[in-house]
Amino acid sequence: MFPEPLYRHGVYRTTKQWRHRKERYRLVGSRCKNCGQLWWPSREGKVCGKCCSRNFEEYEFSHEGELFVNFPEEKRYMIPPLQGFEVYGDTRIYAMVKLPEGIYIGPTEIVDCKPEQVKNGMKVKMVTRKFRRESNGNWSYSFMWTPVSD
Amino acid sequence: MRRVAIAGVGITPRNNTYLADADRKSWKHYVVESCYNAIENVSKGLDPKDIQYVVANYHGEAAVEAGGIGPVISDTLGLHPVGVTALCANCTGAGVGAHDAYGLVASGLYDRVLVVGFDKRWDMLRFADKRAMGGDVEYDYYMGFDHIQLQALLQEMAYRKYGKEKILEALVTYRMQMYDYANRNPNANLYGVPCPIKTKEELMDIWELEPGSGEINPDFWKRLPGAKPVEGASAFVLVPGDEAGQYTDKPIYIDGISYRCNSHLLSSQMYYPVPELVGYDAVDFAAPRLAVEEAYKMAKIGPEEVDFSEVFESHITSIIPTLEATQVPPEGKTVDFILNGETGLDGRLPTGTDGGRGGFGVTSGSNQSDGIYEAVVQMREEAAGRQVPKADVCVVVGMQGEMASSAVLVLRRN
Repeated sequence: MFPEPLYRHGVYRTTKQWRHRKERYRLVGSRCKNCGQLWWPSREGKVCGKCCSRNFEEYEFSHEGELFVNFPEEKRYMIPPLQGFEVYGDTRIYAMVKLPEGIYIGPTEIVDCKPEQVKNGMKVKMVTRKFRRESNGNWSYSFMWTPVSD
Repeated sequence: MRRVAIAGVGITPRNNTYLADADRKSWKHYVVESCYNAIENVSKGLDPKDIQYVVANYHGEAAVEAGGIGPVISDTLGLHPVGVTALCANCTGAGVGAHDAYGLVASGLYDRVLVVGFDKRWDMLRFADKRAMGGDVEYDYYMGFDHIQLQALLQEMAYRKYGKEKILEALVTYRMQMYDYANRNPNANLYGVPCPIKTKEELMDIWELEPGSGEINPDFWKRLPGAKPVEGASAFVLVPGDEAGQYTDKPIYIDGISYRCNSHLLSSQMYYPVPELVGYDAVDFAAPRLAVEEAYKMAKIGPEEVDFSEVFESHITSIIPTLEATQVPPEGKTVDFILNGETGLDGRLPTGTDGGRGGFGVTSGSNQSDGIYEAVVQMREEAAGRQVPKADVCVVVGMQGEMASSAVLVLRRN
């Protein structure tokens, strides 16, 4: 039924997918209410690395940014994918995106365009795409990035 | 605080003859062989039962099919009820082990502490999933990013910072040097293996797919002399410096030691908002710079006193920042330092003299103890054909996972 191999010890439980839902669906991170520092991923329930405050509020980051660096998998050599990612073969484009808030998101992926269209510095926007199956067989989804068309 | 010395070192070879038996051995075999090799290497004698504590490192959780392995190691070594601290700090973990063991001896809590780093990579069902246990796995591994892919991103950043052609030339230069050193070390994985290229021009003449395109020719990667991932262990025995003469005629002193952390998520390294880190991006690799500074300060030395180094240099994104961290290459000139052969045997800073992580063999859990082993062998002047001309002071610089942390040791012969 599923194309992935039988051994799935590397697949997280659905509860973890749920725990990260705001980050994955809406790019929600944290803002320290004491010093104002923005953090991604979320630091909710954790500690501000700048001032050691534990007082955070949610902060939804911009859904548009600038491609800082990228690396198309097919450009170099095929690396055996992690479990659950076999279906993507060597078509993934790895990236790091810089947001207007000065925060970087990465590693992440560029999708919906050919590798030769990808240029560092290009404007990109967040999209939600399926990325791997959960342990119960459901697809999980996450943010990825696609070029902003002029 | 007491001065601390290394009294004995041990290692499992990574040559192909030894590794031909790899399927017959578990990680426990490697741990036993390296630890007892280190104990027997204490030239004036050390009863294993006199070991008071053990600090062990392996690649990371899930890399070995056991959790909470401290008691397992104590039992495996026949040392019950001796306690074992088990660390998982990837390629710098054995350096972190040295750091923690140093504190145990320097403080006076113990007089004889054994440190071991090990790796058994081929028992895993799927090596890519083990290799990925080297980042902020809640975000990178979870989203399907492998260590190698993250390194590729870093490499793209390095191209931008230093220039692509220059980076590739430095990589070819260092890899050729790696073969040269490895062929002088019978324990190295590449011992007896000729370098597949004779001159760096063989690759640099073809590196670009089309002249001026900046696109790397796939044949460049295919023909590039490779770094060799292997498995095994290395160990050393720490004793109080003022008692070292009771154990060996050739003690090597740890005069400086430090361990510093940065974020293990590449994107956070780009802007981490604390004064010590804010000036560095991911490709700068802040941790070894900070750790080297602290270790030099502790040892009361400057870079001009360092004779050679063992750094984590299996890939170009670690060769440059770890070498730069030593402060021996002029600031911003590390790539030229490599291109000019300054890391070779007759250069200013011989580096990776056992073949380096690439030529001796990348063995994640023991990478830094492998470097410490080589440093001790050099400082005892037992390195035969790869002996460096001057071996009074060595700096050993580690690197963890995605450039997240670094343990550094300054070793001195006298």
